[in-house]
Amino acid sequence: MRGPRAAPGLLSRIFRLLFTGPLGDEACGDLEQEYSKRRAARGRVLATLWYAGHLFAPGTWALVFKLRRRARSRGMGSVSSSASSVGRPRIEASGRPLWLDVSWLDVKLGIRMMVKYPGLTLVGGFGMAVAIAISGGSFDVFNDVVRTPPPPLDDVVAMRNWNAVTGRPVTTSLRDFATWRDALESVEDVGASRWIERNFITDDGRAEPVLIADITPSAFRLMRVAPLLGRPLVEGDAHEEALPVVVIGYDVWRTRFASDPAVVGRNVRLGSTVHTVVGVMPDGFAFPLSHHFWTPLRADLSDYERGREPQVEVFGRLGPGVTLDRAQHELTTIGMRQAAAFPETHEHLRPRISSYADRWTGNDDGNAAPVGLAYLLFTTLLLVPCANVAILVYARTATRQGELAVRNALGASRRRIVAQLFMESLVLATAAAAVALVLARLAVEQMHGLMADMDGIPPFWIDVALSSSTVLYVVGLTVLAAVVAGVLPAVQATGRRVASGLRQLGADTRMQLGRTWTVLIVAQVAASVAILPAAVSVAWASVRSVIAQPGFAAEEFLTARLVMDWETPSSGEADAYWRDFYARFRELHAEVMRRLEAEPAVSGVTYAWGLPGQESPAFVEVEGMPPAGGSTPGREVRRGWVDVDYFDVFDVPILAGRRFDSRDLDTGATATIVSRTFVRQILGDNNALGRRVRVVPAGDAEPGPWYGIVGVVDDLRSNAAIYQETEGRLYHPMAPGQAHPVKLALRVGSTPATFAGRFREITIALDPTLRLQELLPLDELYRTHPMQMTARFGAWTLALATLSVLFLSTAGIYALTSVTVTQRRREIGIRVVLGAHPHRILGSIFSRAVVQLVLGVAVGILGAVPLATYMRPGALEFGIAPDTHVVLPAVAALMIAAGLVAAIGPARRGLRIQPAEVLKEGWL
Amino acid sequence: MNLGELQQMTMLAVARLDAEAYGAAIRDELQAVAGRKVAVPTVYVTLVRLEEQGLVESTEVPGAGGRGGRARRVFRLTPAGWQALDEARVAMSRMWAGVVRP
Repeated sequence: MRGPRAAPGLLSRIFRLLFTGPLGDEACGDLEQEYSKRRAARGRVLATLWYAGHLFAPGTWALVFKLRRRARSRGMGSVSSSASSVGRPRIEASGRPLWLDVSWLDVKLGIRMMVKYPGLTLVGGFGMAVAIAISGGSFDVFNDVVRTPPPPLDDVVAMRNWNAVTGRPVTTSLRDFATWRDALESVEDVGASRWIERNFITDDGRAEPVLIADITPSAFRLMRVAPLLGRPLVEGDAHEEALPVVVIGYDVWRTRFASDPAVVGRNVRLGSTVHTVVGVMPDGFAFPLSHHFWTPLRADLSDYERGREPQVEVFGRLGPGVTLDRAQHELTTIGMRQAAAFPETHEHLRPRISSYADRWTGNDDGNAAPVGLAYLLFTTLLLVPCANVAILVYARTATRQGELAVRNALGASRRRIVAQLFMESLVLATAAAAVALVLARLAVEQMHGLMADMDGIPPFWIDVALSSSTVLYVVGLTVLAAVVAGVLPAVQATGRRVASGLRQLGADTRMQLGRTWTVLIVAQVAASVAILPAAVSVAWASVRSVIAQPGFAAEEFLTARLVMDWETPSSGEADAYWRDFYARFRELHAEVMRRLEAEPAVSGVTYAWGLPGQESPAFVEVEGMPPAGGSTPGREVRRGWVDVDYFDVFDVPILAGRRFDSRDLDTGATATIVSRTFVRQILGDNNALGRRVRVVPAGDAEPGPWYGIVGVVDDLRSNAAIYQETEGRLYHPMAPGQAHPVKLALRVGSTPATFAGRFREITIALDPTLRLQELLPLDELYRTHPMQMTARFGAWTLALATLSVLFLSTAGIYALTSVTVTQRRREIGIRVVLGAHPHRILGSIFSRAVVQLVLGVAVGILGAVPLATYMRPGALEFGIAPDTHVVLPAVAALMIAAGLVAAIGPARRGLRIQPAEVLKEGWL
Repeated sequence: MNLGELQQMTMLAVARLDAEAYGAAIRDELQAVAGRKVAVPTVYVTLVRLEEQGLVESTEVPGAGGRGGRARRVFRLTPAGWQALDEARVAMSRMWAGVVRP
């Protein structure tokens, strides 16, 4: 009975499991007694720490091994360490957990098996590692997304409008924020922020675009974090007449101000405005996501007409004891009042409140995936390769019947043998899990990077490292994998019928499972032929699409998006503001082009609304041609607006007609240039020059004006998987400043990245409100685009998983066929002795193997065709055109070849059997 | 037989405690007399090793008081153990002979 100061139950049980035998009991008793003393003297916590610390003490483990070795050497028979592993004799251990029957020797045997069967180790280990990595990585990312963030974020909430008709979130206006802030009683410190990008320019002239949170001072109360230096933003900072101030983050202070303790009071420029630094937040602080610059949100609602207000993100903290449901109820009431009062803007808007983390991880749509189901799915991913490994292990176990028979005869129970086979699988699974953890870590880093890139800025509470719960999950998966791949085949292979046969040494100890083997072979071949062609072709198409290189010298171009700072003008000033804005941008854009052209390192400068691959989709009709028909309003193309020198700078040959010139920029000019693919797809390779084409919008809108085709250019493609640019191009000329923002492309030779600094200098020197976004060599832009990286990540993951299943399936068929032929050795021997012709024997062996394999292929084809048909539309939607016509016969041929090759070895060995051997074995 | 320091001390503790030489008491003795703090499992590992070497032997005796009335395993030196201790002491004495502290 545990007294009031009994040792912690779990630890106590662990020690009692570890320390076996009477002496172990004695040691456990002493530990518990010492624990009680310590607890009385020093308290529970210290005593528990002391107690638990023994788990990590070398002495503990030395004693564990001593006691176990002692138990084995006393009264339990001898243990041979031969490769065939004569097992520990029977332990009468009914009711004991299986794992208590394993020992260090089993681990060593497991390692030896890995070395002895390198094929199974590599193929099975690879399959398990890929599956565990995918399951573990998915678990980790999923957990990051659904996990409640740590304080002080745990009761912080986000609020935003949703459109009740579309079921999608819509932007929330500053006016909504003000309404909610004033009316909500269940949510405190309601605040708002909007994000702006500005050039951050310090005294030393260094400049870089940074993301700034224009935020209400309530955010700092909400986060309950005091500044490291100075003060946070306060209400007074938001007044119109207050001086511009900024609070900076720890990393900014450290890297841009060399941790200057006197930074408070220094001036910095954000765009064209000088701000005074008033505070530095401590290390680790970030809000709303991973922002490190905070300026006061200044906006006077009276400046804006209803519906023209700036858009903001709204947050707050639940009041004490308030539940999310209660807050939602109150917010819904407020939303209904707004909808009734302002139907023209709010009729369909339904404000929704969610936990702050859910807002940024996309879980606030009310359709969060059931957590249990997701975990089940991740775990199920493991079962496919494990089932394949199980078949391999089953086949291997079948070849080890002699060894198992010896062990059984020496007294090893079935339970003991199963325990050992489990341990062998566990060792393999553990090795696979170690590899999987490394793979998962890399994958999770990639996925977090992608998530961050896609949202622009990563939530600060999401940790990139694999969590401890993921490691525990992987441990669980490892055990599960070992059970599926080790215990199930072991239980089957040591079944009653087999076990009873095994007890007699010298008897025929092979498993008589002919029908089972046939079913297994047919099932394995069928599953492979049904699933693998579609998987292989999708994987191959995915990989091919992500490794394709641009169709031009993208690596010679430095590109950037040229943006000019803007404000949200008050309603009365909006027209004049935007007129002036575009006039100014036109001048600056033209001047940037001039200055860049004057740079000696730059051999060409051009601009476009979108770079190659980024042209926007549109539907067109051609004068004199019948309408497209079908569900689309016209024929699909990609439409680009480009500089008149665009094709020259990108070295795109003019195939017919002429290039753009300055006359095409005149008002009313309608010249357009089309690509080679456009001519092929839309005009059927007929003459394009002089033809007229116009854009037809979807719906009832009027078609656009007619454009005359003046030239045909060769295709200019990025070949990036994300752009899926299979359509032809329709190009329009564009004057400087006609679009904002605009993409610039500079041809600067083999190392374009080296010109990036100079490029930025030129623009900032011209005007500090000009910013360069995505300043990258063009090939890198294609390569590192988040969607492209997602596609590449997905493609390689799919390829790896498919490859592992392909290996496993091939190895499985090889192993199964090999075992079945080996099982016929007795029959072959007898037939040889009786004088059967080797050709007839071989014919019989191979005909049975061929029947099994062909039957499997036939069943597989019945599944493969519908599966490929079913998958094709989905794959095409992702720009992948799977071609199973080639892959299906290839996979079927591979499986049959694997089976036949597997039959050759045992068949040849069978034919070499001598009559004396047959007599000796007692087969006749 | 070469005895390690902890082995020697453990055997001496067993000898000193005589009929009370069980695990916890040996550990307490090591701490009280020699000032050696030794973890519980370490004491038992040492005892198991000594037992394997035939230097100590153990018997289970019915418990009384202290351990909740549970049986406990009491250790005692075997003749080989006594001999090993003697040899260790003699070897140590020889080594000390003639040593003059500067």
